[in-house]
Amino acid sequence: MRPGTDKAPLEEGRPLLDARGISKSFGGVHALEAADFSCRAGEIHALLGANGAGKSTLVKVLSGVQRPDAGTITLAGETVQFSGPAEAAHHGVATVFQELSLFPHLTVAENIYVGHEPTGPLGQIDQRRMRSDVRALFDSLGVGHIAPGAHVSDLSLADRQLVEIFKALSKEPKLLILDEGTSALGRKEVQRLFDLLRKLKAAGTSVIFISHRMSEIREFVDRMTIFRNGRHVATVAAREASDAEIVEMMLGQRVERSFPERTEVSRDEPPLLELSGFSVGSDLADVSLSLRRGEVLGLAGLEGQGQGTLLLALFGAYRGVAGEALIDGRPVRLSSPKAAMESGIALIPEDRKTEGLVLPMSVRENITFSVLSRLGRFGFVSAARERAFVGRMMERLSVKAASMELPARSLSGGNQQKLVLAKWLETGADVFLFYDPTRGIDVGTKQAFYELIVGLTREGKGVILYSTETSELIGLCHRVAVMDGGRVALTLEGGNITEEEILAASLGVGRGRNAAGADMAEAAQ
Amino acid sequence: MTTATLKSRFGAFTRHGVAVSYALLVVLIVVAVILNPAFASWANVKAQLQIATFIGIIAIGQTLVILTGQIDLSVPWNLTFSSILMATLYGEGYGFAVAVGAALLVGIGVGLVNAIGVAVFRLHSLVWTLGMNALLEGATMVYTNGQPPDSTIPGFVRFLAVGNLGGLPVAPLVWAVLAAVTILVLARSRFGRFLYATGNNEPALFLSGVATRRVHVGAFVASGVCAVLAGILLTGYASQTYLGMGNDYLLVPIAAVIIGGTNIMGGAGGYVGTIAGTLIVVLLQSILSIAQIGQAGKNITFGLIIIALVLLYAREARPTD
Repeated sequence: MRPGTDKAPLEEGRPLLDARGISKSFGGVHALEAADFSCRAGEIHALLGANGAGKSTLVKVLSGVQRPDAGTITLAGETVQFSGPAEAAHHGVATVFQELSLFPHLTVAENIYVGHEPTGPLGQIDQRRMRSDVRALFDSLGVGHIAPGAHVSDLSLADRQLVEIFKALSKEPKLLILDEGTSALGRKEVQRLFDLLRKLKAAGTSVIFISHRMSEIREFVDRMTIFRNGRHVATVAAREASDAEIVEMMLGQRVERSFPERTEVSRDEPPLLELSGFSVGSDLADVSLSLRRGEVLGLAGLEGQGQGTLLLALFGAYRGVAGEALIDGRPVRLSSPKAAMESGIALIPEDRKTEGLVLPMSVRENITFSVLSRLGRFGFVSAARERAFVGRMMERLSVKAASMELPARSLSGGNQQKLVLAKWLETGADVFLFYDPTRGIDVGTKQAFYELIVGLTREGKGVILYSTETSELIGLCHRVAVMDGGRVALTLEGGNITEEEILAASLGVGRGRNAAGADMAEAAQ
Repeated sequence: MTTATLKSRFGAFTRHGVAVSYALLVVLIVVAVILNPAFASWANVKAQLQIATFIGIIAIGQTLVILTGQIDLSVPWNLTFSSILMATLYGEGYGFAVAVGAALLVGIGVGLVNAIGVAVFRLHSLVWTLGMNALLEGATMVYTNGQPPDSTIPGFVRFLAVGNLGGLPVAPLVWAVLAAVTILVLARSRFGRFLYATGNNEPALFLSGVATRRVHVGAFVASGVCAVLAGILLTGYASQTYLGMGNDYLLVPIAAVIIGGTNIMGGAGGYVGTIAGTLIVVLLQSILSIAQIGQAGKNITFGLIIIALVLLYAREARPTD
């Protein structure tokens, strides 16, 4: 097959980009393991995968943001090694990342031309030409409503994404990568964007497209590549595989793990926590949930669909939260983490290193921040009582540390996470919020955490668990709320909590009809 | 193995700069006595401690504020304004308690406003407290019409500043008491613990259910009050108040804190080191005077020592793993 294509360099079908055996690991975690990816000249190619499949890492490698540990990248027949994004851009690779990279206080035209502004005879920036060029471009693209002279900070999120894409296009790339670059665009805008992308494609430009909206992908792209656990699984023509087949390829072979038995939840008692109409700006929209004593409620969905916002809002870390929260039937004001703590809520936050622990301070100091006022009198800390308390907590959670005076930094990830949990065990908390507690910790400690979580429910506490590992949600939760775009898309219960149902609901594809019943049962309660 | 352990232990000790700063202090004392044996006389020691008292008390507030990762640049005109207010009120017959009470209220108010800027508006204290300093300078000018105020100094203030108690000078005793309280608070109190945690990682402390705003309020109010106390003592010492009396008390106390090994970015250090830092800056000025080095030479030496120490501390603080 190779000899045939080598003869005709510009013929459609010859790979423009060919990445072979790309590996990249972060602190022992393999994000990409000998992954292959290839994209033809003049095609729109979707990259699919569940959370942690390695899509974003691949994009970063292809766009020069990160260097691969191993592997080769061939671009238009030439082997390339990017020292940084600038060199990737020089080779004709333009990337639109999930996080926007525009300068909010510059105009639309200035943003599009940043770095390659048209200049007048004296070398000054030709503002007039810049704006009229952008005006003409926008009119031809059917986005005449965006004024070239408007400040980016005044645009809607959707318009900002469009400007971001046009900025990438203004560099006339050979390869355009859109990493979730259309998440804020409406159906019509996506349609228009793809009309444009098809024109580019006809001119030989390739587009790599990453989106979680599977329906939109299937309609517009030529081929799709599915990644799983940092490896290439399959590349198929867009209309070749069914939704179900794609979901299956994304999930792959299941890893069976043993979970402790769930605590029996009494349906007769009133709920421990009831939320109604919880909203935070545009990140969280009208979330209503209930949690019973002894119950583990899971939060699922793709990353960044409001799960973190929900947990932080519940813990009082946001201002401007609308909605009502009841604990044991009494309304509570969650105006600050201190208020949330006093209402009986505890949070194990997303990043133990920056949010959970004060790394340079000792194990002892980290365990006692939340209970310090009870370990002494008149504002002073009793050293003896503090040591006794810390010793008890370390034993209860089997924290492995040579001394309680060691800095938290020196402990392993799993033991650090135990410190974060330890500080909440005696604050009188009834509601424990866990944000992906087992991310990046070893299997043995993960198991210990499952026991700890179930142990809390046996004591009559309630747990809300967000996890990026679906198997944890299936193994531990009584119910799972799948979130999408700041809303609870679907609540699964009992036997309906399966990987297929969770992933299908996360992607918004039309499976999980049988779960609607569970949703209604919940509403009826 | 053993060498490595020893090294790391020594590293941990010197990381906070306490050992380095006390070693430097001893060297300076030796140099001073060699240059002029009269330096060791009781009269001179008393005089040096007297000067160190003003710097040392202001440096208490700066140590607390710098530990949280902030800085207080409102000290000079907080000190001047409150001292002039005290002397004027006393001169108008309001009595000692009212005069000193009003001065202390100014210090508390300045500290509160500083803390609001940092904790509520999330502005950097470098800018916010500098603005506060300018504002207080303006307020002083309005209050005094730009004229040096007539000063009447309460007798008790004179006693605190230059009196003797059982053969010992009172002002350094006041400093010693405040220093002991500060060291105790930093080492053993909840507030002290939270100061260090705020400087190291405020979000983590906030997410532990601690009202971190109150930590900032505590640090800045302490700094405001320390500036006022130093101003009161300075007024008693000079037997007068004057415009610009606080001008020398902005950078020198901050230098004392840094020389004493407290991390300018916050989170590590303490007042034990600041005491050495205070004595170092005072001694250094004396030595340079004895050696008949002019003001320019003093400033250069001063700057070089700060740069050298900051470099040294930065090298030691670098993570080894």
